[in-house]
Amino acid sequence: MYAPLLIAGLAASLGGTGMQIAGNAKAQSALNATRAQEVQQQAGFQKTAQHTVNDSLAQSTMPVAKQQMASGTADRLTAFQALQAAGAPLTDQSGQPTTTNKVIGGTPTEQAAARAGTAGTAWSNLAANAQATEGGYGDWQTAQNVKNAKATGNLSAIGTQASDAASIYPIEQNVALQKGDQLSGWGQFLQTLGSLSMMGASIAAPAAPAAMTAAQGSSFMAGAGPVSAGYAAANPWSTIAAQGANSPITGWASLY
Amino acid sequence: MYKGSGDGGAAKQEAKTQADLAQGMSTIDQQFSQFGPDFYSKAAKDYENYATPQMMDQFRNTKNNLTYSLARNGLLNSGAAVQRDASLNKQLAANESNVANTGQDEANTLRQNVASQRNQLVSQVQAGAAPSQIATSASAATAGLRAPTALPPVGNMFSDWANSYLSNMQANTYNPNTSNIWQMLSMGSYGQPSSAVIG
Repeated sequence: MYAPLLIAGLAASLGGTGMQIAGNAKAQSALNATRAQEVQQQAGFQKTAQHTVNDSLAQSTMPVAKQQMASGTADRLTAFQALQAAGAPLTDQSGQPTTTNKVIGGTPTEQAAARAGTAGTAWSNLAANAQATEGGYGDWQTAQNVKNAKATGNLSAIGTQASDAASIYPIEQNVALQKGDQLSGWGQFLQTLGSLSMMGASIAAPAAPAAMTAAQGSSFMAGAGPVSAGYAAANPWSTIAAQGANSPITGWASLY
Repeated sequence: MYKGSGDGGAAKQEAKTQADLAQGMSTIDQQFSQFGPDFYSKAAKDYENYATPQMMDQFRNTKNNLTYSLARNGLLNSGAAVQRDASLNKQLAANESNVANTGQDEANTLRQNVASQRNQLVSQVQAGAAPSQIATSASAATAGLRAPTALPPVGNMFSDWANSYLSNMQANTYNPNTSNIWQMLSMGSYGQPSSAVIG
């Protein structure tokens, strides 16, 4: 009767332990998956951020600066030349010699006007070039400021995404840790059931040995120890008592 | 990402936040994609179109007034007239250059305004604004940026030149040490301040 119960209890206990181990493994697996997912996600954010930084840095080099300055200067000069071309007809409205109405030969006044016009045009072109070049630096600075502002905004957004993702990672870890709870719970239940079965088996086991005899009882009371006759013969207390009688401590120290 | 149950909906909320942020950024990029090089070129051109007629009108008036002044003194076909024309045309060229550069500067200011508006919207997205709200804000911001703005006044672009020219003319009328105008004109004006040409 008790043997099958003992075996069943043992099996249940072992099964329960196995389920608990499996539950822990499941939780650990979920935890690993969560960690891997988080690492992968953060790596993705980092990659995007790095890409943004690289793109921005690529626009901060000297060749790009030169190109942006040249482009700005060219835009300004083009605009200036267009304005000059548009305004040219008006410059000789009064009929007087102008920079666009050069007369070679003719009266001394006309010759002077032609020379003055050529000099004036050259001066204007020089001044406009200088001003456009100066403006080109401003165009480059503006382009850089705009580019940097955009990159900073994008990086900030990526940082917010990464931070948001990281902020719930502990919660996800907790969730992962709970993944094996159900299995572990059943395992614990089964183990408890097994323990109870084994306890029941031990209760249902054959009767205990007979009560000690009167002689064994008196021997035990006399300090003989366990009640079995054989054990009484090998009473360790008697040996210790004998050793105490032959104590090597002498003099006043023996008082202690 | 591993999304288990029992997290109080934090994972779901986080996923929504991420999606909102991505959508918000996409909306901003889409709305601001209209601010390309053409937009800024047009802004610069708009300023030129605004300032040029005023500048040419002022030029015409200044030239006419000085022509009448020269005519009254019988100097219409003289060295003084040549000098006046050369100097005035240089001033016109300088003003044209100023207008062209101011147009580009206006475009640059607009570029910075656009960048600033975009960053403000990005900040709103990061602060957790809903995508629909971002779309509305972005639409309003871009509409505001596209709207015509008050351009800086052109001012009187030839008054300084006219005043300076007339002052010099008056000051040098009876000055026996006045430089020979023909000599000045034959030298040209490279590397010399404009006052040297005028005076």
